[in-house]
Amino acid sequence: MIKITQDPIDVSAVTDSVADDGSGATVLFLGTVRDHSDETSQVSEMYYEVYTEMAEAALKEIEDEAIRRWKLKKFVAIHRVGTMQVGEVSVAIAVSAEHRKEAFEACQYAIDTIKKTVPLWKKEISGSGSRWVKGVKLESTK
Amino acid sequence: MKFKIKLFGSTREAVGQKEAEVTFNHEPITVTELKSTLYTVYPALVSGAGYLVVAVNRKVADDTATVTSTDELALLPLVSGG
Repeated sequence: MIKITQDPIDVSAVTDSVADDGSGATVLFLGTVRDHSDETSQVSEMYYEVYTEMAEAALKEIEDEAIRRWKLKKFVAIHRVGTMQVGEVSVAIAVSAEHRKEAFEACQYAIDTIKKTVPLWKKEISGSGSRWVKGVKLESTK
Repeated sequence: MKFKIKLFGSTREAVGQKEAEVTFNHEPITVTELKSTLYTVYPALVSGAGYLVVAVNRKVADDTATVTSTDELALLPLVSGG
């Protein structure tokens, strides 16, 4: 299951949603808003913008590929957009698999690929102003 | 024909609109033609030109791809999700 949402992410619900009797390993990744960056010493909040329709399609491809390649039992990726405070969860990925190796690898693949193929933009907001975070050139999902 | 192009993040801010619009008297056009016309009509986009990607119908498109005015078009700056 993949989702783009404006609402706070319920981390327990994400973990619960990948529970599976056939799985022996669950891996959860959370991306959170940090209070600083390489360029800004004091970040107060982060604003995320998304091209929703394209992002949903790209997330779906990541889900399909992760399930296929690592034979996952369940996969959930939720990315929040809008304005978030320091410490809030911006992205949550949970996967369940038969064994831990597959679960770790699939979760790592999912977050690494989200950063390259999903059209999302974030802007740091600090006391001294705001700036779009320098990201990477969007890559094709295939 | 009018081509409408969705803008996001820094490109949306640079142009000051959520959508850009350019006109061609023929179609299809190539992504390269679309980009160069966008930069002429919206000079604020030029500084980031090397990093901008065009998406056609929600897929990343090569510069040689062709598009028509009915395609869903977007001009995407460097991405920073996660």
